[in-house]
Amino acid sequence: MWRVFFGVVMAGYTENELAEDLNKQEYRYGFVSDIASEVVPAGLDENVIRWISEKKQEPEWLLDFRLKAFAIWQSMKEPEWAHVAYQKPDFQAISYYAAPKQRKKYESWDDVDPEMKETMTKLGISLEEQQRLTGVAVDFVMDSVSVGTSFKAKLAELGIVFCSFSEAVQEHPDLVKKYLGTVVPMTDNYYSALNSAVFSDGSFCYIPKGVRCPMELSTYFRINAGGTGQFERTLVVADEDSYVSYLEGCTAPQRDEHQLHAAVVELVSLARAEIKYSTVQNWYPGDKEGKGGVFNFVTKRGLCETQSKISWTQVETGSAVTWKYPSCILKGDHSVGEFYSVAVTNNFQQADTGTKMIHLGKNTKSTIISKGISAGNSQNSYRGLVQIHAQAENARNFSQCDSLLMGSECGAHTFPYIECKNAGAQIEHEATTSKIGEDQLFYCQQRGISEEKAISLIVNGYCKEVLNQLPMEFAVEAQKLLSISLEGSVG
Amino acid sequence: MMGNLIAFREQLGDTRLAMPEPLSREAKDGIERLASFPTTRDEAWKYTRLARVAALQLSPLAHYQQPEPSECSETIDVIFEPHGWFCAAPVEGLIIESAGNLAPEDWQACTTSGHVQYLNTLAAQGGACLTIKAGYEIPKPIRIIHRAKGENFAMVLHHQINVEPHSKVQFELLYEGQGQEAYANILVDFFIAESAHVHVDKWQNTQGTHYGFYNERIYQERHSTFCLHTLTVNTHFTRNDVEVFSQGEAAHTKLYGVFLGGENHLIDNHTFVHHMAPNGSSDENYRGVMKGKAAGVFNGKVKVYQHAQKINAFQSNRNLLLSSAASINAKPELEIYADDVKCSHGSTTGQLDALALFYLQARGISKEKATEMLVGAFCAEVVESVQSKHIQRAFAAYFSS
Repeated sequence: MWRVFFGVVMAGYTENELAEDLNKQEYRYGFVSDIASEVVPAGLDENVIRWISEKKQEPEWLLDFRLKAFAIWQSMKEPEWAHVAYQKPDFQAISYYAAPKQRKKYESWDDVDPEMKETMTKLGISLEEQQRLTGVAVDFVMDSVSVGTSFKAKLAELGIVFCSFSEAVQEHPDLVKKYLGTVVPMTDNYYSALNSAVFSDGSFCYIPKGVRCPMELSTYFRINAGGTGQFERTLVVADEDSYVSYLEGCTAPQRDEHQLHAAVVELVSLARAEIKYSTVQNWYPGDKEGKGGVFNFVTKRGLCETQSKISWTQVETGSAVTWKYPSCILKGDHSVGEFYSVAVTNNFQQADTGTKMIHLGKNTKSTIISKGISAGNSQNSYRGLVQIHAQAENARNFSQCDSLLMGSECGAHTFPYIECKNAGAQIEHEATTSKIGEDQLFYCQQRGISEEKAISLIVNGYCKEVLNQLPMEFAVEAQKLLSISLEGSVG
Repeated sequence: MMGNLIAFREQLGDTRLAMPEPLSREAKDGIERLASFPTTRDEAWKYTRLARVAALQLSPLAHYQQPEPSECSETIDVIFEPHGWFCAAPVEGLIIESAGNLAPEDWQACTTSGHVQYLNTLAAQGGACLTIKAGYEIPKPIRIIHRAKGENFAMVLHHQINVEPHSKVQFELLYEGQGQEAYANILVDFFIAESAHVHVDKWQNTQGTHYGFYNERIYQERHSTFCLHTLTVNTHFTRNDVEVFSQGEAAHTKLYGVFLGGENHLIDNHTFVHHMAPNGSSDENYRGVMKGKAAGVFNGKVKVYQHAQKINAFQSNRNLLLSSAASINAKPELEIYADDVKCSHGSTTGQLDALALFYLQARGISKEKATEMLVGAFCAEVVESVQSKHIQRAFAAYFSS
């Protein structure tokens, strides 16, 4: 219930609750719900794709889309340029579809499987609680099929569409058809092609012209059935002059074998619209020996039309291997792209994350603030691209990438690419790598703050710039995650 | 498939140098493995197209026997031209010999990588081997001059410079002259022993369609210092690769550079500093100014190895774009495996301060003159610490022309 009161008890939280949490820092969301899943046999070929498509009663054009993507995927090679080393997943050993077996639609909240409710309660995101107390509409995705969507009526009044992807395919096929694959084409990369071929479900959101979405839209993802990959597809379209803030949070249960997560997120921000997309990613990172954990290979990209804005904020603490570059294509004049990121790696985690800012329009602006923290034996890389095209007059970019190292076994790396073809552009990039200042630690300890708490304090201060960008509720959760992820990393 | 590397290597002919067997084999295997010139899909050549280089028709190489004498009172000159070389009389503490005289075991152990170094290993026509004896300070700068001349020639040289402990020396590496559809591949290895100090000023100003690939590999032992200034002006195609292996404790490295490009020039600067031992430092400062349709590239990499604690690495790259068709690609990289370090880099790309330009123009200075003044000031931070008077004068002359 801390979510509800955090405004009041935050100070109390950092003092007392943190210590408590640090004591039980084992992965807290590592339980497996015992819901019978309907799983397609492992392996991938055209038949599996046809099976998925049929199961979801998809229209012909979507099946064609999937098959085309599959053909492209087969001709592609897995990318190897990222600064990560891992055992490549066996794509024929993965089951590409898992849906909770109960297929009937839930009429009311009472119809929902009690065990599933239990799962949600353990995650601390029960729909009831959310609905009653926080005013956040949650589209809860368990494995691949969306089981509960709330606040729909209220949103519908404003003309806002917020539903699962499969529902959108049935009910708003024209919108889906118009925008699907326009920002992340299926040919974009290996994992986006795979996702385009086999995506199971996801979220769809459409904000009509001139509407300011009155609440934060939120989706929780969770990988549940063992050995199933999750291929989410998210599409957010903000029509002219609209505004939406979208939250995405992830927790996954403890698993021994590696699990693959290859999602695609597409944002379309039409003229004068604004999309704020926040993520807290906490997939299972593997145990202390580096065994298990989720492979997070995600393609996220937004397209900005004239005077529009897309802002990505991410807090990455989970996953064994992360490969993720939320990007902005600043196509329209005067459009703005922002990227705020905190990436924490501990034990044997590996992260290669960053952003791409493609400036095409005149007077476009982008800001990149990236904070990396590596501890244990982990490797944490920032990889970014700032590209100013010849026609992008007066483009502006500011990038700042800081890395913090804790322990002598970890690594922090920076690979920024800056490409400028316009003489009117102004680009600034700076990066620093260092460890926590001994003088800062000493100062805190001298005032009676324990070393662990002092580190937590300093790390929080270091990430403040990014955490401040998150909606309040997420900010507290993120802060808590940071402390838990880094526990025991300094002795 | 672009540009046949095997055919290109064959037209260069075989090396006149007795390279150690493992290196030759590595290079031979490397060329066969690559088979073609790298494309822009290759990370190291992402912004540099090699199609024009691959298409060069080169006449057979000259080979360098014994040098003819060269005279200059202020400096010690070693001059390489496409068809011969000249060498000044050595001074006390300095030994100069032909690299052709070196036995395989005289080449200090090092590895090769990439097609440029492979080609050099397999086809180097000659080079100079300089040894600075322990404890000596060479009173005059040593100049190694590479003078391009003629058409369709190739100049593939491999120099080895051994700087023994507690010695001090100043070098000037000059790349001048004019060449049409010509190719240069010049590799200089510096082995800097304990507590030795080396200062190198490098001046690159070749005219014509001359394609230059310049590699410097620097191996630094403990308490040594190495300082390199690379001034590249107005060359058609220049690729510089500077790789520093900071192997000994508390070794200090400075890499400075200015590159000015105009017309359709391409100037590509790659640096790579390996911090392999603790307490070392590196300081990089590169300034690029691009006009016309010129393309500039800066790729600076710093790698700190796991046990190399207390490293202080700084890198600054600033670029000016003075015309709408010019472009700059920058990639400052950090790869850090040790925790107690201070590493940072900064990179900016922009144009001249409009206010400063206005200020000067308001005082009756023409826009051209004002631009020149501001660009001069932009480069000054690097140029001022160049020790060679000759290069400073050459730079100033280029600048005011």
